[in-house]
Amino acid sequence: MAIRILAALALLAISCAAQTVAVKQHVLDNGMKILIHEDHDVPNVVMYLFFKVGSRNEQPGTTGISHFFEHMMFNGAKKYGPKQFDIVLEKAGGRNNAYTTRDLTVYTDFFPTSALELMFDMEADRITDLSLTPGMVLSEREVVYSERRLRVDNSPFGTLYEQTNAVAYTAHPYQWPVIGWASDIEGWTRGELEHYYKMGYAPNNCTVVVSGDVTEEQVMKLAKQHFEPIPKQDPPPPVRTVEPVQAGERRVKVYHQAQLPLQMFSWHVPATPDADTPVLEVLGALLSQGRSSRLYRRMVDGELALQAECGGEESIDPGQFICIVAPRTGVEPETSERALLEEIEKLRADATPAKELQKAKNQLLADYYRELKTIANKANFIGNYEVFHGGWEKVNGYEASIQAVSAEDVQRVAKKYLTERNRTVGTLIPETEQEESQQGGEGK
Amino acid sequence: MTRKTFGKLLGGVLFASVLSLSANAQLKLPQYTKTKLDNGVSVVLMPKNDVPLVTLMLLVKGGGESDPAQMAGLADITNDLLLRGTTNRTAEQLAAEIDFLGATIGTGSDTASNTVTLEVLSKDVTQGVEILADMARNANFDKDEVAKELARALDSAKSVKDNKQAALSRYATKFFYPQGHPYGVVADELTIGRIQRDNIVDYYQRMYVGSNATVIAVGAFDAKALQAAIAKSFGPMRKGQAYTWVKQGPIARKTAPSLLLVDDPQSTQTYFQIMQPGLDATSKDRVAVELVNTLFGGRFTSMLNDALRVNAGLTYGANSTVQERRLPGAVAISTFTATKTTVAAIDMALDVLKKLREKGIDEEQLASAKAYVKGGSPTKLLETNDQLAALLGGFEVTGQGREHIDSYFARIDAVTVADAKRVIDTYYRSDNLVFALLGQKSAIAAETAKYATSPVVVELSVPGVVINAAK
Repeated sequence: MAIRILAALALLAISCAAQTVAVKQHVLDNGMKILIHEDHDVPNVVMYLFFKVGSRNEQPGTTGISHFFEHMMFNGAKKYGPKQFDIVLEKAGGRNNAYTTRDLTVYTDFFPTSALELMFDMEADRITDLSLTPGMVLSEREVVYSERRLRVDNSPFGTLYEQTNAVAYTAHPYQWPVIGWASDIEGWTRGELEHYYKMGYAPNNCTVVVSGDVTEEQVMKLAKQHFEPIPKQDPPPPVRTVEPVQAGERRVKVYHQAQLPLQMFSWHVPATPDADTPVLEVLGALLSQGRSSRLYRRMVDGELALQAECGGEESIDPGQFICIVAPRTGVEPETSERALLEEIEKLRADATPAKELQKAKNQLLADYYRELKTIANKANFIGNYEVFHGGWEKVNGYEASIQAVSAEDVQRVAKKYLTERNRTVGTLIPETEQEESQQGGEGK
Repeated sequence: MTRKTFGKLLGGVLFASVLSLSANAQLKLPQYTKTKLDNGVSVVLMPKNDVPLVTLMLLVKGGGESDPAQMAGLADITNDLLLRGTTNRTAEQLAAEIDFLGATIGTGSDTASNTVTLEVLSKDVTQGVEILADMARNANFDKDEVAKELARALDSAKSVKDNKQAALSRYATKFFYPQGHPYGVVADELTIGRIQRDNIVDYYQRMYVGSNATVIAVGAFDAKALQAAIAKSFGPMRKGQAYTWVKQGPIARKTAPSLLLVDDPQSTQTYFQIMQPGLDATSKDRVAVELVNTLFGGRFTSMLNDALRVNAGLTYGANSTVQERRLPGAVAISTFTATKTTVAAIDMALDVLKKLREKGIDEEQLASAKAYVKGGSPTKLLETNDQLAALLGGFEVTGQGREHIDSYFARIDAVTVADAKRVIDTYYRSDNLVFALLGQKSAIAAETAKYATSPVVVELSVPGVVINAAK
């Protein structure tokens, strides 16, 4: 009987085996890695440059410098002076953006095929000869301040996330915010910026992904011409600090102007290449992906929360599995916390039913297809696999890694990581104007 | 952390019919068919073999403009409740079925329509159609589910105020549009609080009918089989009556500048919008305005962003948007700045507007805007199944068709510097503007009083989006 049920489920399982992602790989003499994904349906190209430098490479006092540097990379180099990177690219029908994380700084260019050579020329210019003028540093500092006010200071979520992380990590650089502490944003010196540029923006510290209407020959000719002459540098020093094992629950309260409370739960988990990562992905899907997920039914449908979502994020060093809960009006944070923790306890105590496990896998595998919808997504996907998973080719092993997750794995991993000792709980408590002026804190 | 507010990550184009974006190339919408079932349901099919996914969209005309003013949010909530159970499936069964397929479902409501979008793997498309039809035809509005949904909508409306930009945008909308205008109706705790189950059932019975519904499918499917599946599942839908669109002329420019200040005593920055009357989606001026707006406030190197962010460091981003709706909407400058630089930023935005009016734009700028808009169009409009479905849904509202896309580049090419000047004179004026600010009243009220003679001040902490003063 059991065998028949499993066979039926296997028929219902989603397979993405037909969708392999083809990539050509080259390494230039200076150590820069070039990954090419050809897609000739259309005359557009994306170029993503992944520099392995992020806030984990920073020090106290200069937090946020990676992100600041990301901004400075648009403020003029030798051949393309101030503003020219954007002006010239937009005129050629292209656009660009960039993002910084704890681990990476990524530059993203989107353009018609006709602008391919221009793109190589402009990227090479700023990787080689960025100019850091004092006026630009000053004005961009204000821009970053404004971004901080928008994303953190005036955002309940931004504030809670920053404070909970600061408590979840005691030693490792993941404890500080990517955008940097306000006092550090004021402090960066030009010397620090110059040092940082040399260190982080070495070609040997970069993986370039080109996806779209290009050929391998075309890309490699331009890469050799424009990127290969860039001298290699010493890469950023290794991040030595290892976060000590957490030996008991940590709690943080944050008072902030808000309509509703907000909660964040964080557990330490291994770095992305670990064999438990696919299991944690499945755990996240079981808990909160879709309206039939455990937390949706118990908390959202059960009128405890507006939102309850869990998941991990890719990381070079051991990272976090996080749940975010937004309790409903009139629901005490203690109540929503209890519900969440009970659901997690069930995953630890009981084996997940086979059909539910297959559902979670189906959702993750269908999401995999969704990642392949655009050449930009594909470039990001390929690049992330290269830097976090230990090689782009692991993309094509994704299905197998998810299908291999068993109910025993789910239970084992929940027991191993989602424990009380390993947990940090952050709670944002809404306050009104009057409460703030009293400055009473908790002393009642 | 990202660098820009502009241009979210945009990707490439996916269909082979666009062979080149050089000067003479044109955009071309992939082939699609449109038919009608006997009961009035429109069926729009666009087969597109790419990844093995299909986007199925149910579109019902009406949306926000069909909300009774006192019950703003009715259309949206009714639509959300389609996911909360039918006479054949409980909410839980519906969710379990969709999730097991690895499908995603989303509901949306804008000013003119409600949509339910179901994305399924190609192999599940028939089942997807059946589920969508069940929701469209047999929603049962279970009493408990309705009560839960209304309570949830109330909390959601409340929590909008935790996002200051979104909060300002609601106040600004209400302040900008004249009394009685369908676009000035904003759903908040007060309007949602008035909605009863009877209102929802009534709305559903009137609006979710064959004559008012369109089913759109874009993706990898067999057109003949899918057409048959749609006919089978949607064929029994009651015919009913098509929605009659609200008739409304252009918005008159105010006779004096006006200013709304939403007091948020704890905010460390001021968020503001500067608005004036714009144009509708099908206006003959649309493309010229789009090009002018690209240069004025629609991209990173735009005049506004260059002045306020790049040169002055006053903000993380400044932009200008042109609403594109069935009825004429607004043109709005929008940004935020530290409390102490509020007036400096507003003055600078006004100065950039003045310069645009005085200097206009030249040939070189126009050429750059044309290249930019064309270069980004395929990825913005036609890249994914979802985008194409949204585009086809938009046609149902505006009455546009393939020509809108196929002649798009030709219309862009035809815009002259003189056209640009004409639309600047019409839509980028400096007189009698509408200002909406959200920030610390105590720090900015006195200084900003210079922009309008009798500013209206409201408190963010007062429940709802309430503007008491007469406009």
